[in-house]
Amino acid sequence: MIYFDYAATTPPTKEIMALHEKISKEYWYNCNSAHQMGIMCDQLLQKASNVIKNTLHLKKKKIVYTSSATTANNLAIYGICNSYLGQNKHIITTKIEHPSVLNCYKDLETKGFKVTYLDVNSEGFIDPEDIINAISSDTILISIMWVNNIIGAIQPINEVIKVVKRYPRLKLHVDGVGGVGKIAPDFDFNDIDLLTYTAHKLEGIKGTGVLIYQENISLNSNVKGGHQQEGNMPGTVDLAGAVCFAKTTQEAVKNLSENYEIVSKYHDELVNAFKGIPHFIINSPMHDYSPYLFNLSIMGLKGETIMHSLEQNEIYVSTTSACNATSKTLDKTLMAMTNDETRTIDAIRISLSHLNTLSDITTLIETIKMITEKYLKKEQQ
Amino acid sequence: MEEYILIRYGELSLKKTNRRQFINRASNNIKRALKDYINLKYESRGLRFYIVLNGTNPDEVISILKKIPGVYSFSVVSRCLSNMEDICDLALEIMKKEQVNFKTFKVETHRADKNFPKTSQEITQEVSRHLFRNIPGLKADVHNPEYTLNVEVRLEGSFIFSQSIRGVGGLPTGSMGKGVLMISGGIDSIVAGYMANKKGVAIEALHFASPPYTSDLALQKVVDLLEKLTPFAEHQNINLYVVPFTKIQQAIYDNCRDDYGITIMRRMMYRICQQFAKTHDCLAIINGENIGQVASQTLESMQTIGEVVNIPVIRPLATFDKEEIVEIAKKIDTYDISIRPYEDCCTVFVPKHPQIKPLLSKAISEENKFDYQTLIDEALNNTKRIGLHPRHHYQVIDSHDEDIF
Repeated sequence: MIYFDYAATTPPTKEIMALHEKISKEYWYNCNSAHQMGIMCDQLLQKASNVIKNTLHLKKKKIVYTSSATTANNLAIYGICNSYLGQNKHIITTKIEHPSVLNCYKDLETKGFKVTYLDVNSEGFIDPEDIINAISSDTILISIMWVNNIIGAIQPINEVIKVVKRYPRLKLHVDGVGGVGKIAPDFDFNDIDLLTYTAHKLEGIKGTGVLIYQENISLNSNVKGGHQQEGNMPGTVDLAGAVCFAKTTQEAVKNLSENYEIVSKYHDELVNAFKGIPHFIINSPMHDYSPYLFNLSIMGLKGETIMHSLEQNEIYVSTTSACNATSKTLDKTLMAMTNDETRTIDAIRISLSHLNTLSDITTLIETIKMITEKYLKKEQQ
Repeated sequence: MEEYILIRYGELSLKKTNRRQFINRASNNIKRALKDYINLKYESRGLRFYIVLNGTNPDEVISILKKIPGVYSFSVVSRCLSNMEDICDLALEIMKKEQVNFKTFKVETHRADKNFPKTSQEITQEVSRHLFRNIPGLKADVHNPEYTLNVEVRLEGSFIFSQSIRGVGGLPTGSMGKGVLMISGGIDSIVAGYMANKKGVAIEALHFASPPYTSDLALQKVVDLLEKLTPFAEHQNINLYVVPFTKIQQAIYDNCRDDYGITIMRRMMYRICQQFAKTHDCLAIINGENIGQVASQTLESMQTIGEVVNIPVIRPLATFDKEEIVEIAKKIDTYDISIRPYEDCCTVFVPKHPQIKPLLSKAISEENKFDYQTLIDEALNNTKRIGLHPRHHYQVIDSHDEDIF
């Protein structure tokens, strides 16, 4: 079994599983109970938050633990926009965002917000100039993902920060799922007002996400309940999840450079194997890219077909478009980049990890080439 | 280019007899506060104290120096070779960095090396000219400049001193002796402690706890507040003494007239503080009392309450407005901790109509209804000491979680 779908999720490490068990067994009390046991747990929760802050060198930030990056993104976006309902405000995002951001913006559009969806160029990057042109005195929020999860394009966040700095009332939200713990930032996390990411993409546990936000921001959460986490995410705090989240962050950042180097080699192998070869189009950019992602279109073969065929060879990748007799779901990122339906449907996403081996990569390359030869021939008959 | 930071001790230079001792104490406090910066070296030359940066980023060192009691002011000193080109270039580099803050300037030169081919006047003129040429909008003002650039030309090199940066002033921590700080979890008492510490009084903190009426979180609040002061305390250590006060408070509630409850309670606290002071080498009591803020803080109350002690009671905040106190609390980063909503003993057992002008005779007669001295001795015997230090955050409730991260 060779797994290349790490962008969907990663296996938790043994250490994290052991830590989760320990916390679940020894610190099972409710962090918000006023007695000693509750206080003991709350102190551990604060410690976890401090670990995250120290690891990412954060100053004057608050942390909310959510159930996923999706709920963290929701909290970030609605947390800001709910205070401006009915005020005709303007918000900006990109066409290549994750659905947990895009669908919030779509929903807010129906609620009266003016929305600008930034285009990307043919390589998958936004242009900061477009932001400057779009900003008005009504603009209150802008959401830009750090690393696109379909093709791996690293957006020019430091340029975005420079633009946003000129407008102090404008809040910057960055979906950091593909970058935190994987890519060394060329910007300061402290310059981002709202940052989200999740642990299960970093060999952590599913069911936890985090929103890191500037401490003077008041969030207006959609979730109503008690006063846990200052009312931003009511509900009993998942302490085991939070502690594991902090530990996962710590480990990922510690191993960042080493892992990056390993994965870069694999990425280079893939580029060399498919660049300039007929029938293959590499959708991932060749500059400012995350080596953890490699998106490839095999023209003439549906991505789904390739995926299932690879599956038959016990190799797992993903596709982000679906096409059958009754419906077509086209991946938004690829369409925004190429406007080419065929290329979009024919794409597969290969996501890498330091857990892969070089022989995994070789096998993948050979198998793809073998499949292509086998099935393309058939189609051409 | 930044070579070192020159420290100037202000008030110390007035105390001729103890000057050397004061300087040594102040210098040691500085070294302790900068312990983490391992590249720093220190030099004393007469009454001047230099921190040799050795590549350390001066900004971080400066933000710490600004908080150390006894430091009057300091300057960042840069060094270059003794020739006009290098001197001018360095002066320009420094001015460019600082220039956002002022418009008018002056250059002052002191030429220690008499063999240098130009006079101080000539050096000043040439440096000034170089600065005018390269920085637009700069104006000279020899009488009242907003910024003065000092140039010292010596044989071993030329030194350019940046603008004097004001320190926090005061006296080196501990140089004046020790005091007992009455600390509650409120905004005021920690600010009072900060000010006493700044003026050279090392503090022993005393906190009155009344479990189960007061909680562990209230005590944690006090710990967190004091931990804000530990980096600038003597030997970076502050002792917190927790006095079990419940029995005394209950006895007062049961035996005294309701409106004299606060008065008697404060008298008991003062007695305990004085007894404590005498066994712990403390020369004064310090607290955050403010004239007229609450019933116990009218002048009449202060007189009736203070009657039980014969050591000085220092009230650094006596004449401050609330806003002024809050401003300091925010500056020393204690405000947010202070407003955490946990009861301390002063907010429990509050009488409906406290006596704001208590009579001494009445207070004494109320006290005589019960033998408090036994309870006082018991409370002092059961007082627990917690040592606080910047290295380690103290948790009232131990989570036993040191090995998790």
